[in-house]
Amino acid sequence: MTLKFRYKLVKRPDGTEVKAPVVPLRLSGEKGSFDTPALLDSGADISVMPEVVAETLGLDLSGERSPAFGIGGKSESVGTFAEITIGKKHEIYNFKKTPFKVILGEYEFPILLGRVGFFDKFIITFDQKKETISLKRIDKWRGFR
Amino acid sequence: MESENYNYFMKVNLEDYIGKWLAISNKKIVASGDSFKDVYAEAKKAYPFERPFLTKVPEKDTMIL
Repeated sequence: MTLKFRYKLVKRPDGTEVKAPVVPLRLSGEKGSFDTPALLDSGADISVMPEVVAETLGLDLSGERSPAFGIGGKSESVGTFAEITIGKKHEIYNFKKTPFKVILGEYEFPILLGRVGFFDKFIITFDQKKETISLKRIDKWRGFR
Repeated sequence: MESENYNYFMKVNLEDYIGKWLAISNKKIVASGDSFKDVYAEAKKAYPFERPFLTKVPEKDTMIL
């Protein structure tokens, strides 16, 4: 089975448009849970969230600090795990311990889903012309399904 | 998870919320602002037993990751 989602169109005041490849994600931790559109980022080694989101969810931020490098420069980060759920009515996937890098500090940004822990669980197809994203689950025991 | 709040998000015009956090509950916008923590708290206050849908609307500048 394949999950299919549409790009989100955001119109700007100057008349230009942004079409973002997002998927509906549920993020959960010991202290909270919320749904959010997460941006698929094939360039990210791992999924990323801002510190304020990790704190709100009650994620463990006691790990070793390390630098994270992005196009915007270097930031201090810490590794953690969050529960994520993605799907539609008849096809739902839950991953109890998805690895995330938490970017420490006050900079707030949308949730990014990266390769380790997310792209390695699906075959992901971006159709820029049709503005759709398809996710086909990889079954690690039986190949594809 | 796809939900009614997500379907509302996909249809709604976000032009007035560029760069802001936005909370959707019960298929309507219930809070917005610059702080995730404040918007999350406001959404939970409005609907304590609902799981809110929160999004950061992309900035007007081009995003390069």
